[in-house]
Amino acid sequence: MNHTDPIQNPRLPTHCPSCAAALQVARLDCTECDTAVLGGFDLPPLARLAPDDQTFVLCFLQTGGNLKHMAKLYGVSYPTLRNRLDALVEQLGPLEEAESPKDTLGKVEQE
Amino acid sequence: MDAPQTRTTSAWHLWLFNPFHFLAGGQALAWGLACIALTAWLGGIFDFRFTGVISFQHTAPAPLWHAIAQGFMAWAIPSALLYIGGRLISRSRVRPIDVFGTQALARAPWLLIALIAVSPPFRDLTASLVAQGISHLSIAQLALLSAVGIVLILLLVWIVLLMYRAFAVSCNVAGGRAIAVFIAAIALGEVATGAAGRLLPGTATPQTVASAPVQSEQHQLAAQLATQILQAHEQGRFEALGPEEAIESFRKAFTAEIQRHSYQQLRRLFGTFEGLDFVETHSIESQPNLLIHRFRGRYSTASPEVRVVLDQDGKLAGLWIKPWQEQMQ
Repeated sequence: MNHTDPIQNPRLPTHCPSCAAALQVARLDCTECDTAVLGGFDLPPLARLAPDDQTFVLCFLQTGGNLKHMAKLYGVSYPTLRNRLDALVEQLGPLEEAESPKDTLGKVEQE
Repeated sequence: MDAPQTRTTSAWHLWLFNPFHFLAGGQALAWGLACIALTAWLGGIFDFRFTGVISFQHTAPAPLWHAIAQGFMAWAIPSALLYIGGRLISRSRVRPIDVFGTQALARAPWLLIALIAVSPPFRDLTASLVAQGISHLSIAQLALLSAVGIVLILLLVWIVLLMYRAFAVSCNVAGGRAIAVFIAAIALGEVATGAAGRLLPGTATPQTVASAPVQSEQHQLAAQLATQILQAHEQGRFEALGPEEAIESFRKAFTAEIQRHSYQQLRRLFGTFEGLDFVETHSIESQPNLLIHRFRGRYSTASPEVRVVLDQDGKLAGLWIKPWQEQMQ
């Protein structure tokens, strides 16, 4: 459950409330110098997930991918947790094509 | 942090119909096996055995380990089939410990069925049913029989539902294919478990025999042997038979434990043994060296059939006591 105040910390909408299509970022503002960047930017794959699923992914990273430990944290059985992870992987599946892990690793090494 | 799915389903509902949401793997296996062992042990004491995945029946007395072995077979065989089926249709990684563990836990309600089956009121009811037939039951007995029947059916439906949920969670499968694989595995498991149970050493069930009535004076010896055994049981003596009295295979199967079990069952069904009245002798087509002597048993509450099988040397080769039927079956 997300206990943050929705008025002070509004959730990032990912889909159009009218037609349910995926939303794009049209404007980004710098809070330091007030520079505004306008354009059409796709949301990153993880940002497109539902808030609960984002929390799930965050927990997955924080526990180092240890599903048994995660299952304990969630109070559910191992297969229940793994099934949810599999569902998420399936949901993210088509998005993987946008940027292959190999390319990402190349960038990390360059940095 | 909220558990997945709890947004739409209450916790008690999940514990009742999908406990595998919370419990799987080794923990489920431990709890499940404990329940299976207890159920099989309880059944074994009162002559109930798992003759299939979803069949728990009253059977002829048999060693306790038979009941326990059949209890575990009724879990292991369908679990193995569901594991293979899950591997075939699931896109997730399927762990054997989850499939076997959740299937074991899904069988926990059998313990409730066993407790009902061995409870004195239910045993009295079934004894009356077997000895006298349904037409002789009182209204109260019929009402109790119907109520228990409904409860047993509901428990059976619950078990099947739990078995399916266990399969769905442990293999991450759903939909038509999952249901088809589940039904196939259970049907195959039912047949395989029954067949495996019959392979246990010492398991023998009376078969329909092709026979014809014959004349023989041997029935007097048959009456004498059967009366001797049944009277000894009434006096609390459950003794092994000597080589001059019975053939070796019968002596091995007719242990003191089996005799005590049979006696308790017969006492409950038919009352106290009083005597035998000869009815007829049959020869067996497939085994010409044996003769079947049929008697009408005189018991305090019923007159069942006492069937005595003797070989050509007059040694006891079989002894069955069951509700009377005019035609030999």
